[in-house]
Amino acid sequence: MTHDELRSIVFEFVRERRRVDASPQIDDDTPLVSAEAVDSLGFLDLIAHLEQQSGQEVDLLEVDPDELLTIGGLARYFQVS
Amino acid sequence: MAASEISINTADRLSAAERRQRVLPWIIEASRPYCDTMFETDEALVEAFECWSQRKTSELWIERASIGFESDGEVIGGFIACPGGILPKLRQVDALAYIKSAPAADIARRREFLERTAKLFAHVGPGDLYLSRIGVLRSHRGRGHGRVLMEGVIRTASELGLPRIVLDVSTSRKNVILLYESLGFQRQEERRAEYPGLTYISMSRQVG
Repeated sequence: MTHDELRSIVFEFVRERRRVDASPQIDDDTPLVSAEAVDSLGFLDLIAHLEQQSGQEVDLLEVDPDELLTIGGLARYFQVS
Repeated sequence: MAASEISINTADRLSAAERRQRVLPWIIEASRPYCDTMFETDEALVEAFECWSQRKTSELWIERASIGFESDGEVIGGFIACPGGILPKLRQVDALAYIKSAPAADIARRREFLERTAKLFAHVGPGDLYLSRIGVLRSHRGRGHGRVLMEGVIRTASELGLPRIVLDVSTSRKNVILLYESLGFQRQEERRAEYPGLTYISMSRQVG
């Protein structure tokens, strides 16, 4: 998965859930929950979705919250290029 | 021992066993009644809170706790206070842990619990210190330790330069609400979650 693919997965997820195109308002550093791209429960689903897509599980002992809450952080966490 | 002889320090000097026996119990007690309906069994609750208390990214991280000690090193209780700027992130990771650790049969119920209780607690801003948990061990109650710990919370806010302390308390804990009021906290909004039948009131106090 590339960085652009991860972005697309997130935006597609937001579009399906919220029926809005969030891409203009969200850059790599925008906190997804506070930007209301996803609500708290949606965030849980997004992480589960990304785990499924990447085949990589989120290790809660290692995770930095900043790395889960933005697209840039997610890209770093899932080590996409 | 008189309340004035209590010192407040971090959990550094406590062994893993002491943390389990002398810290976890008041954290759990301070989480009631919310946590009683959160988990399916008491065992699941204890297991989850023990795990979260060891995780830096949890609201319950034990290293962030302030512990009340008697002069002989005996733990009387303590508190966990989080700067408002980091609290939403910690809660988000805890919510993730809550769902990820659920047995398959309980995932839907846990999601519903989160959904129904999402608005139960106060909005906390980046300039606030949020008093997440405070408690005195049962064996040490009735000696004024709660007030000493609360004074420690106020000192913490002052040291961190945070001008306001915010907390949530179950409306069933009337004596605790009176204690908070005696320390200058004012009642704010009361919120109810019909499922699972919880009512909490938020209180706040400016720090001079």
